[in-house]
Amino acid sequence: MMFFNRLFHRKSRMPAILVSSPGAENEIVDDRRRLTDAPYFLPKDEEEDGRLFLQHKALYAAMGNHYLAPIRPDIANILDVGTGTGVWPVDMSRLFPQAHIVGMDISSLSFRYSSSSACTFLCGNVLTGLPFPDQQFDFVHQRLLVAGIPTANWPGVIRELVRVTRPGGWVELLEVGITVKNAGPETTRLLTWMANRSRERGFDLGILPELGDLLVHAGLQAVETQNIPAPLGEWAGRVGAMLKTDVLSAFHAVKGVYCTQANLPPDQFDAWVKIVAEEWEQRRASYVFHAAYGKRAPTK
Amino acid sequence: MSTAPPPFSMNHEQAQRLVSYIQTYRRYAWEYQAPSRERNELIRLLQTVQGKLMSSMDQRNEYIWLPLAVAETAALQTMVNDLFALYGMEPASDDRNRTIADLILLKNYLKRTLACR
Repeated sequence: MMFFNRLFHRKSRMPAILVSSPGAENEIVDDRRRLTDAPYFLPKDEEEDGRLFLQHKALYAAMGNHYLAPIRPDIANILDVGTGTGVWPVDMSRLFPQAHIVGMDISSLSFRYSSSSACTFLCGNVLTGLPFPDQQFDFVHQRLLVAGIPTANWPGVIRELVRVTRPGGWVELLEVGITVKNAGPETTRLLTWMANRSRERGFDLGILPELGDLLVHAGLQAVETQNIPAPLGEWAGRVGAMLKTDVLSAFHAVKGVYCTQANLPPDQFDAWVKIVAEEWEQRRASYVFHAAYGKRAPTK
Repeated sequence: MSTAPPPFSMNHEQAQRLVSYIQTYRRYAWEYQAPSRERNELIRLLQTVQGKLMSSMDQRNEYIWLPLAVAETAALQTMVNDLFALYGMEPASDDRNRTIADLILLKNYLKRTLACR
């Protein structure tokens, strides 16, 4: 009885995969819980999960939907690579009630939903190959995994995404780099500094505006690339305020790692970020998201 | 009581052009219109129409019959009006002429469709 009570009370917070391994190893590094046997360097803790939920809401408000590709309303199978908390599959299952949606992440630490008849959550690593046969999904979605895919791995990752997509199905990528519209000098300086720290770790953010080219190279058709500016700051009301909180929280999430790397005192980083956030308000800045989607050729 | 308008028929080439107008409009909306409930609803409806259209094009039939919901028809009408304003500002060219001609056809169809609801 106690077990059922516990199960009931913890339902929404319970990791979906109770019987399998939680995936990648993790430990506290630079004050936050992080994965230790994977390149992904953002934290895997409750604070980060809160940021991921906020980011999900902010993106929906800024872009108008949870996806951008013109997929059919009657699709049957959807895959979300790097699902994090799992909120994307859960919200997509409301838009596509007939579809089965798989949310995959390298670690189950962030899963905040249980698997159901509509959504299945599982652990897998796109860098070492997706655990699915060829041509399994009508729509394969991956977003904001820039901190998990070293530059050299991008072509291989996209080949994997295409491999598991059915003929006529769509692959969609959404990433954020270092492009800010109406950026002030301190914003530009901070983002350049962060991009350099990322490059030292094997992540070249310069690849992000070229995602569409990678999809074309992988053989996809009808490839669209879109740079979507999302307002950053309270100057733009609720949407801008949400995104500002999300981006500041993301900066906080990488602070420990980057400051250790560059030997910069964390309080100096905090002061810098404060100046940068003021610039966003003064200059009415927008963060630019890089989206690309393409279709696998239908069978003849 | 509102009923769904009759299906919209077009050939492959016209369908391809409509897809490209929708895509152009979605780009424009993301780039130049501030996020709002109305903008987002319009983008979602157009995305749905684009999805239906591209999926019908995969069937490789000579003609494409596109069933549209009333809200989708109205979204296309808003798109056409905005595209008239956008393309109207472009310098004269064959491309511009063809686009304007397409938009006039589309506008007339949508007007008839909405009138016979």
